[in-house]
Amino acid sequence: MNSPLNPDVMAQPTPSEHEVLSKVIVVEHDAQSLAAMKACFEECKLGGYRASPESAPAVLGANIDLGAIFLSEVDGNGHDCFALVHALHMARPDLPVFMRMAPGHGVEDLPEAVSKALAGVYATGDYGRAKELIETYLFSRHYPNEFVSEIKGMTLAALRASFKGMQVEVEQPYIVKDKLIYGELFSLIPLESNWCRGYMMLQSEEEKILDIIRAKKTTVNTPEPTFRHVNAVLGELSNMVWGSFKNRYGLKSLQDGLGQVRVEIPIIVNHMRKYISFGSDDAQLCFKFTVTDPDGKLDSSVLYQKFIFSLDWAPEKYDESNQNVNELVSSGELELF
Amino acid sequence: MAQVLVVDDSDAVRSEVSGFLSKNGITVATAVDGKDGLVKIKGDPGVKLIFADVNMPNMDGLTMVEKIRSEVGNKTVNIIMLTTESDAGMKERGKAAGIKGWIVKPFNGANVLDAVKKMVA
Repeated sequence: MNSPLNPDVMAQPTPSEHEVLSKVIVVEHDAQSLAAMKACFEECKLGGYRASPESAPAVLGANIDLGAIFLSEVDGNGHDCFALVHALHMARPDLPVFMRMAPGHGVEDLPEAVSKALAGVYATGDYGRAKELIETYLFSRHYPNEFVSEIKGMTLAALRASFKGMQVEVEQPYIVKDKLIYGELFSLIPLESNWCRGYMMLQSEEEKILDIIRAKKTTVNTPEPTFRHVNAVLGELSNMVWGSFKNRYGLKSLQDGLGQVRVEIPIIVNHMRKYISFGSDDAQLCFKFTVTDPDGKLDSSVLYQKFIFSLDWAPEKYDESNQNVNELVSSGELELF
Repeated sequence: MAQVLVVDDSDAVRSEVSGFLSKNGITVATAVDGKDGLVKIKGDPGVKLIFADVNMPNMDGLTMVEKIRSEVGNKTVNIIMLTTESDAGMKERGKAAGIKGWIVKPFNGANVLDAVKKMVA
């Protein structure tokens, strides 16, 4: 599950550097519909992994950072895709599934089990409806580009301080509906400001980070590093990002909360399924960072950073308060008193 | 007897700071939180400089600093906060307790070595 397959990747949109994308699986045999979908995806900032009905379960199983699934009512042989819809929905119930239907067909023509598994349908050629579904299910939450840029910068700085002499690269930010956990370990830390409240999660693989520690390219200096040292690296990395976030956006004043009900939602972790739910179906903001050894001696290590603002999200207040945010703090310098 | 005490709940930070100082000929002891830091400073009153984190379990760094001055009665040890925090109110609290400086993480040893050497001399 951790190493994505290399399915046929549809044309990627070309958004600005900090614009948020989403990745989707597309099961579509009709060339005309596929061409129209590409145009639609370009406009809606979606990147598509194309799969056949046969390969779709494997492509789904190999990708943990998806936003939705698009498929057609029938496959290239004229057989319905109902069993596939049901199977994909059962495998990943958090992902909205959208079905293209032939003109004149509607959701009422589908078996109940299939219609329940679908988030929405659109008629062939009706990409206006497809865009509505995308906006409703994927992009209902707006992440300001400047905010995305700032938190990416904070994280890159923390990663470069944590992994010395390593190259750190980041993919275009994207939103995910999946609730799956990448790798064997993750850190979780609350984030809070006057306009947002939720969590930051950093997920990674133990052995890859352990190799970097063994190569003495982290702050840890020990002859026999163990998983506890991996925890220490990930913990301090999370701490630095949290500190930058707090220094930049401040904390909600405790005074503001006096006398008000402070909402908390249980976080559910299913270890067997590598699944974590924060009690909200809102799309999560995700960054994929890759830490690479410039000498080529170490395997690259991947870290997924997810922001889950499940408790409060008011980006319009970010725009208002952004004029008064704190200046970025210069780190590493001694301020003498 | 150590010259410097590094108080941080992060193994990574303790390792980094103590490793850097040791390489530069400075003897170092470590503590895992504020409570542990208090115990260590009581047991080794000859420490000249403390690097302390702010956010730690059991006892935070600023509370530890205040207790070092009040409960332990050590008015002379130099203290530098090494933290992700940069809140002005926290710095004022630290100044009131007589800290000497503040570093926002990450730690950059080369930037502070001269000052450290003066403080432990």
